[in-house]
Amino acid sequence: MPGRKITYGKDIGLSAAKWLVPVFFLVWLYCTISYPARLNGLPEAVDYKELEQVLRKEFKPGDCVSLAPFWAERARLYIGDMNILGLRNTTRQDLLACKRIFLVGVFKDDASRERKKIESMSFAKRKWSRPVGRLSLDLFDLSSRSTQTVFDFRKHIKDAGVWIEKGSGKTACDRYENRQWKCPGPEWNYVGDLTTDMDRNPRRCIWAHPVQGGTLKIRFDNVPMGESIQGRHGIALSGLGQNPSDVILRISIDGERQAEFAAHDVLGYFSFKLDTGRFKGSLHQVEFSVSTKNNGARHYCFEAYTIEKKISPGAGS
Amino acid sequence: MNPNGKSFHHIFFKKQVIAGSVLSIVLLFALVLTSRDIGFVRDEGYYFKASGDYLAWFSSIADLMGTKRWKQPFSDQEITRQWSYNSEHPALVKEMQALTFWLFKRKLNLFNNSTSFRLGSMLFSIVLCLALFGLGSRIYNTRVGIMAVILLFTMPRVFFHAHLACFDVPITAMTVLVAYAYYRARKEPRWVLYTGIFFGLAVATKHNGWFLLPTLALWWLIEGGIIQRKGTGRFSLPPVPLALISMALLGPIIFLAHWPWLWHHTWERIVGYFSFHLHHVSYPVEYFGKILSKPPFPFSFPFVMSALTVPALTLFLALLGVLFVCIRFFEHFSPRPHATYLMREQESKELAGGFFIILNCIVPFLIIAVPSIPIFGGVKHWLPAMPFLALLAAKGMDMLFRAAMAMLSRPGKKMMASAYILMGGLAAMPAVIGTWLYLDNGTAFYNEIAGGAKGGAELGMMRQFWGYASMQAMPWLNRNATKGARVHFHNTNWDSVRMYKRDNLLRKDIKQADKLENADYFLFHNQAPMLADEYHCWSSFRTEKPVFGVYKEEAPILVVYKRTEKPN
Repeated sequence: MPGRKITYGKDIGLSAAKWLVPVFFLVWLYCTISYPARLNGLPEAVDYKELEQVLRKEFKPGDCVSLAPFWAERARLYIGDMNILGLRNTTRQDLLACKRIFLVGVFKDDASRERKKIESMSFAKRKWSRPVGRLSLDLFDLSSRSTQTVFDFRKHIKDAGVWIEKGSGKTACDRYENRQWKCPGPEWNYVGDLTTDMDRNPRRCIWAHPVQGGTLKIRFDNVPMGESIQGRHGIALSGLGQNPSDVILRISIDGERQAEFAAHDVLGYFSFKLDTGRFKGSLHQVEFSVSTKNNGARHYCFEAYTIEKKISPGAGS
Repeated sequence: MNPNGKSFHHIFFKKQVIAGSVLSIVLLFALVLTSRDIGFVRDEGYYFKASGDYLAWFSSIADLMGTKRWKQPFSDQEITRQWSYNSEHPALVKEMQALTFWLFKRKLNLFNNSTSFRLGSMLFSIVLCLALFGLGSRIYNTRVGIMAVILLFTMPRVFFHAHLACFDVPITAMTVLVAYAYYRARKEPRWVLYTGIFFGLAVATKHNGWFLLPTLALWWLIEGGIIQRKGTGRFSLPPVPLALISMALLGPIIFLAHWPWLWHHTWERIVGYFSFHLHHVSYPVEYFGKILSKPPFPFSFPFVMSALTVPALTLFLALLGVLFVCIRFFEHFSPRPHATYLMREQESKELAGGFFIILNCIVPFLIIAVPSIPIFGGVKHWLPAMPFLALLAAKGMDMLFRAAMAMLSRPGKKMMASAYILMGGLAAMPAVIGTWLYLDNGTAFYNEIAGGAKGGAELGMMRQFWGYASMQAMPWLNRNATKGARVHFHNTNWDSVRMYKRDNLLRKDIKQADKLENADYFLFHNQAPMLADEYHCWSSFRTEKPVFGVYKEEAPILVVYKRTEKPN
């Protein structure tokens, strides 16, 4: 201590501190450098504008966009209308509705990781990669996969018939507003196209909150069938943990029950598959029935497609 | 006495007063000058309104004084009318806000409405600054006191909270003030009374204040039972300190006296108050990518959050501070026959002070770490730990400084002073940069270990809560929103929006929409547990393309959507 001398003998703390002085300067250096290191590489508005220009030229209907990392959503300001998936972890199933996928790399490391992941899917072929200012852009063609989507039920929700069955009574949900069929009762009783948080991801799905003591029915006529009906379903994050009741989804074709799948009160968006090989190549009536024992907070949502195997060139001849 | 005839104590006191005054003035200026950058958090909306109600009540006393109806404001009916709003929290801070609003806005018209209210809480930051400086100076030295204040207020999240018309910094201030008074009361009898009074004011600030009683009682056992009885080989209960008795007596009296709400139906309302906090709801929080919405919460939460949100260099220095206290502990208890009496006394003082700081630092962490305690968001609920953490960091830096000086051969006083300023400046520099960069988005700050807001997003941690980011969309809304536009402000409190209008930060013709379906614009505060709100906006507005956004290191903070389809 300056100006004050006390004979202490050996001060162990002070001896230890001598060794730690260089460490202090090293930590200081690390902390100080970390700011410019992090901030200097950030994309700017001009980079996003350039990205928008490139994408607007290249983008076609049926294309999807994935951001790397998923949370770096500033790109939405520029290309938010271009089918951004916004998923934490893109999987094969997520790409069912995409013909091609553009990967926008906001940070190099994330872009590289995501690129490798998409490439690991055998059907994804990288067509090109290019830097766009401080961003990167990759295009993957998904056309070489062995299956293709024939019919997306969500996209045809307007053509569906929706009603509630309780005992022998039927109540129609026949008011169509905002891509949703409104049912009588509370405001959440509707069937329609909605984006919601299913498994910590934005999922565009058919909202079908079950009703108490009855069954919610959604019927599609003249559905072109393939080898299977595939989809995913689950209880939205907003409804989890409040009620243990399962939600049951039953699928009938031409009035005949084919399968039922249960959505449990757990976080997730779970896939289901129904083999429809015997109906392949013709038009049929498909009915989804949604029910539960206790409908409290059963924020149920599902998506479904009819899928057929692709005939590769030359095959079958 | 020194050669000029002035006592050492006098010079020491003068130096302290100057240092304390300079620190306080600089801090107050920094807070007031930057207050306009920070939007109104949810709770501020409630407190602005409650403070307004209290001011009306005080005004009615002044108006009726000397008339036959002078008793009227004290009636059950009037008190229920003016004090029932926000009666889940004690009134001291809101009373201060009412006072500063009345003085700085109504009488002097020096500041706008919000800053005038906020000044009531900012004054507690000054109390915090002075109490921390005093505690650091008393336990260690003036240098440590100054450095502790600098390291505390350059924690970006602390500096952010220091602006708000909320209770988190005020209770932090009162915690340090009580600790300071208690520490002095051990040797100076007049501080026994002050300790009781300050404790009363602490419990009048926020319910956390009650925890001071068991914390300081624990300290009584540690110091009296262990440190001072070293070598006797037995533990015996020391006499109960008078300061504790003073706290136990004066605390409840001041608590009752400061809060007119408790003057009628006293028992029922006290039970209601404690019951509210014992059964507080939990708010969902994102923690390493998971949504935590109900107990049991992870024990690690406050520790990990602090490790990721206190500037890394400050954290490093605090760990050194703890290390040096531990070294003192082993020195103190090691049998060293060569140690002088002075050495032992100094060790004992530093050890007692060091453990006093560590205890006060660890208790707020431990309270929140209990798995059944709601964790809310951010770090504000264990903010009372931060001044003690800063004090440990300042002690750590002081030891490094002394070690660095010991390596030089006979450094002069001027050189030492310059070296300390340089080293202190270096120690605070990364924290100052962080504070500056995250001034308007304090809750988005993650330290160098986490990798900033980008790192926070990668780790899956919350960067935004409390709905204050709306402020940053106001200029855009004022320029672009159609006349009479209906805006859904999402997580922003209704009364906070009213304050934006009162302070001319938001156009008067813009209306608040109660739900998405009735809105033309939606201000989405990016908060993981609320992401469904953004997705529902996509469905309702039929667009996934925002028209405006606020981002920190590319991580979204706030986005504005404009309806593309007319609502039904």
